[in-house]
Amino acid sequence: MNLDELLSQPLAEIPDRHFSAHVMTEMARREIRHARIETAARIAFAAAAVGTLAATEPGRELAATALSLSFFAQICVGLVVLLLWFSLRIAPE
Amino acid sequence: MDESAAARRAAAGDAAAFGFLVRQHQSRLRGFLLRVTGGRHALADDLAQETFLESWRKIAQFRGDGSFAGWLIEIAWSRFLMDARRRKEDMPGRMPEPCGDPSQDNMARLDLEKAFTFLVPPERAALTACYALGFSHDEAASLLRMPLGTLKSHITRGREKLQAHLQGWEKCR
Repeated sequence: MNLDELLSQPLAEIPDRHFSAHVMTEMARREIRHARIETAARIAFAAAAVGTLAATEPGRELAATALSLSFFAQICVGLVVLLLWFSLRIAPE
Repeated sequence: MDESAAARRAAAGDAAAFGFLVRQHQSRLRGFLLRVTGGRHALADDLAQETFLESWRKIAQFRGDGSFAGWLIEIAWSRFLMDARRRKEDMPGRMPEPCGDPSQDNMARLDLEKAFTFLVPPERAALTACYALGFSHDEAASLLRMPLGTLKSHITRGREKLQAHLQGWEKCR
C-alpha cells in the first residue's frame, strides 16, 4: 500500500462509549447555569433600577402613591409587574 | 432524519436534533482531533466536547452552504489552536495505542499514526482534512483558515516527513 492509499483511508472508527450522552448532559448543565446567571443579572438590574429610582423625586412620589393604594391594589400592581417580567422573558427574539 | 433537516431543527433550538448530529459526527471529529493532537485521547475528547458545545451555541450561524462536518472541523481547529496557545507548547505527539488484530493493514495504519506524531499540527491537520476526510484543497484551506499556498506547503512537507519515517521503519523490518 503506497502513502497516498494509506493516507486516504478513512479515520479509524471511534466507538461512542457515552461520549455523545456526556456532551448532551454538559450542554444541559451549562444552559441551566447560563439561565441562573441571566436571572441573577436581571434581579440585580431590577434592584439597582429600583434603588436609583427611590433616590429621585419622581420615585419618592411614586412610592407615596403606591403606599396610599389599598392592599388589594398593591397586590394587583405587583402581579401586573410580575406578569410583564415573565412575558418579556419568554418573548421570542 | 437527514443531516440538513437535523441542522435546521437544531438551529431552531431542537436539542434532540442536535443530539442526532453529535452521534453522527463524534467519530470523525474525535478522529481528526486525535490526529491533530498527536494521539492524546483525553485532550482530543475534551476539545471535541468543547467543539460540540460551541457549535450548539453558534448553531443559528450555520447557514448550511457548507457541510456540517466541515463547520465542525473549522471550530475544532480554532479550539485546538487556542488551547495550544494557552498551553504554550509545541504539541509533541504520543504513540498511539494499537487496536484490533495486528494484521498487515493495521500495522500499516499504526505505522502511519506513529509517523504522524513527527509532524507539526498544521501538517497533521492539512493531511487529515485533505486525505482521510476528503475535503478539497480549497475547502481545507478555508476550514483551517490558511492561505491555499500554505496548505499545499504543509501537505508537501508532511508527505515528505511521513515518507521518510515510513521508509526508515520499512528498512528496519
